[in-house]
Amino acid sequence: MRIDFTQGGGLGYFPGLNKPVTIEVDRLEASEAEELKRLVEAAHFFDLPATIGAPAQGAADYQYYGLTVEESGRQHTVRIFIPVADVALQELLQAIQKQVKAARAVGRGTSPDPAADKSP
Amino acid sequence: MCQHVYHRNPIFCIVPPYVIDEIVDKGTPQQRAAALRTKAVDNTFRALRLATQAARFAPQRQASRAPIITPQKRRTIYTANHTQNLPGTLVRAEGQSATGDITVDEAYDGLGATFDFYEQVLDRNSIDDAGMPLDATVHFGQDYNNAFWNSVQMVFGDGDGQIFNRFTIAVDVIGHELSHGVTEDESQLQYFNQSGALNESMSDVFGSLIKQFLKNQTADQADWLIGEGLLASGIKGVALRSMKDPGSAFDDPLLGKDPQPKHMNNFVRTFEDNGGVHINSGIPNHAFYQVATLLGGHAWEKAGHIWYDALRDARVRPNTGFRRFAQITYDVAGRLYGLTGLERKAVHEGWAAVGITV
Repeated sequence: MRIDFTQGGGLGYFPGLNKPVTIEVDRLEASEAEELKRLVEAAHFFDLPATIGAPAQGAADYQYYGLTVEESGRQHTVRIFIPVADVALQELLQAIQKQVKAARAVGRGTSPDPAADKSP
Repeated sequence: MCQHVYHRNPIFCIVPPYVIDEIVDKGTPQQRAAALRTKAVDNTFRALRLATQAARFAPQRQASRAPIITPQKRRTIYTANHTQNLPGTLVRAEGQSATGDITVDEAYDGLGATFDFYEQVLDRNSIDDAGMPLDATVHFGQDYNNAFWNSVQMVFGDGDGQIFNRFTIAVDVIGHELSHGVTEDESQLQYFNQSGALNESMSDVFGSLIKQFLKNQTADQADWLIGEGLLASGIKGVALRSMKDPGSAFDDPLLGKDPQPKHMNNFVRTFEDNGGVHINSGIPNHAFYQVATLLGGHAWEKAGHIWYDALRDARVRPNTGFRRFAQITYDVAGRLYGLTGLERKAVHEGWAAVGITV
């Protein structure tokens, strides 16, 4: 399983935080990989619509995330505007952001390095 | 159309989404990164569609507003208790004493400072000039790294403590968010490209003035920073943005470098960030700083009034860009302070400093 993460919007523009990050799930530690797969399943990710939520007219500084999950030849992309009402999706995002943070902390971004998605 | 903030990339143009998906799937790491970025910038077009749609169906503005004799604050602070449910549970209503939760109390005080500024300086009764209650939700989400205006209330994350501290820490950020409500009420500046950057700049201008008014600072005493104290210790930077020196607020391995220009020569064409709304806002931000500094004294007294009257001018349309707005500020300065006044000259010079002739 592979997860691509992007984020945009927010109160300011930070070039480093707007870089896409790829998580090669099968290269994570087994327990982390299993948990991510479980959360993808629990969120019914492949059945989600392409866009979730939308900013109201007049809203400003809102954030959005882009998630693409690829697994066993199928791929699905969802764009998610904050706030997220779906608790299962919130949990999935939380777990993905933990991996994204770990990848960014060591400056690896989209690196294909097998260790790229492990915590420093 | 295809210029990107850093480099030209043909992927950003008219490649169909399924081809981008294919690149994400099978491309080299560099191609994948470019394709993923492209998918992210689709949001700019989404914002464009939404704004156009909403403008078409916007309800007529009220012809008359409810008469309120004495403007009164009506603040309500809620907590989301680390969920994403809005507005959440009420924790402090108007007149209630401090809770001891610093985030709740900062939000309450920040709403108060914003209300006082608009009322005492600009004779405006709250966000809509009709006594609108001010609502804010704190402790939104888990380690949430943002604050936003959802068109009816403010929302603050606690920050993750590694990149950002709590988002209530800077009163100018609170003023910034509420000022989005004022801009929406007065001009509906569309939230993309130049009109979006102008919308952002309005929030920075009034956010900064609210802080200066609270601290009773003159233009030369103010730091002109937006979000001072918001970056966590260890992050190389002083704030989110600098109006005095756009582009200098942060330069950090994790955040990257502050991308704000301060002159039209460096205007950034991008599809990210709703067309660079938080990037190119550096240009009108710096023009305001220049005008306020040239005039000296308290920035809210003259420069602030000029900008506020310009925002309320009927010629400001949802798609107004920098040049049109600059011209309006010049006209307003002449109307308020005379055609031969120093104020009008300062506005001319302030915009000239960022490459805009009025």
